[in-house]
Amino acid sequence: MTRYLSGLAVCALGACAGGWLIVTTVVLRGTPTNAALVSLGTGAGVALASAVGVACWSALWRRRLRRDGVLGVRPGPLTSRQARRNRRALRRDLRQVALANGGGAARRPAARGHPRPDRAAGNPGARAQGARAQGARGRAAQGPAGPATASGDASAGGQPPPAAVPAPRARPAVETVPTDLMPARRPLPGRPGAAAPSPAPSPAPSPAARLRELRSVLEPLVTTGPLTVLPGRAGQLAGAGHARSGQAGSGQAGSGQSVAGPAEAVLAEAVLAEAVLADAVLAEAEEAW
Amino acid sequence: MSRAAHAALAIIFLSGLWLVAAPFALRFQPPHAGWSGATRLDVAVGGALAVAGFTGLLAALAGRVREMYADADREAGSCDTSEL
Repeated sequence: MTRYLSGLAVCALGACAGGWLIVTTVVLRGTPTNAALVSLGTGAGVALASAVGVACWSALWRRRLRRDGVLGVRPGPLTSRQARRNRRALRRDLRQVALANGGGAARRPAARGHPRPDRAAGNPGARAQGARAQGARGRAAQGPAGPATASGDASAGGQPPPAAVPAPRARPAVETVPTDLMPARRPLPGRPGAAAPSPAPSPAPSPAARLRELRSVLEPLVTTGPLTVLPGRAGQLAGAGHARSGQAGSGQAGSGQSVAGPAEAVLAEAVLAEAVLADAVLAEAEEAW
Repeated sequence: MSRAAHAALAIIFLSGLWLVAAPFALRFQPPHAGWSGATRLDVAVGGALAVAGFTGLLAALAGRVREMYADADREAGSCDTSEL
């Protein structure tokens, strides 16, 4: 610490000295002579170097404090670009882990001859539905299919829907939403209910529960903290998400609610797309594991 | 960043030296005459800057060496622990 303190002190002294040289040259001396000009130039240079030194030493000290854990990492406002970059890095890491664990099991579905219709469509809602259906396809390989069938996203992209696809996974109740990255996924081997297939379809969750689940998925990915949605707005957002996904999925359940406004619909669509993107990434990792 | 910080300290030290030497090097101060006010000011400020810059450089260097020693001790301790 003395290192940084001494650097800061010396730089501060240099700034004061440079300022003093400038002040005495400009203010106290009347006619500018050559000696005054030399003092002025030297003082300006010293002041500039001292300012740079103060900035550098303070940055070094802060870095050191952060590395030692004294200063916490403050998550500032995350731009959308940074969030995209974080998601990309997370996806890359998951893919690397999956490749390291399972070899070629982590191939994306597109690489196995199943083009993603949602990517071709370019519609976020359709993308969300496509990713959801991919997760359902992955779960269909685990056990017998549920009673429900896939939504119409595959047919929208030119792909015939699979013969038997279980229903989208049942949304857990509000109190049972886990805080880790994989909420209510298929049970791990060795745990009770490991051989059980995908859960039976449950009635549609409430909008608040749906929003909480989205939060639980999104918050570990984006470090901006919880979404600040008022409780009264939760139903509108979830309803808008339902409506959008219902439009894209050509008749999904839950599309009966009305969209409150275009901005809210876009927001809800973004929230839903984020969640489903994370869902797809986790489903890939799960497949690999 | 660290290089820039050390460079700033070095610049301060060199500027102090320059301020001390400038009146004599540029012939603003006659050799065998009494010092003018500008010369006294430059020498005083330059001397203070040179001393402070040199002290700061030494302190920064000493701190860096101490950190290196601490890191080496920590690594040696972790190696001993892993060997046990």
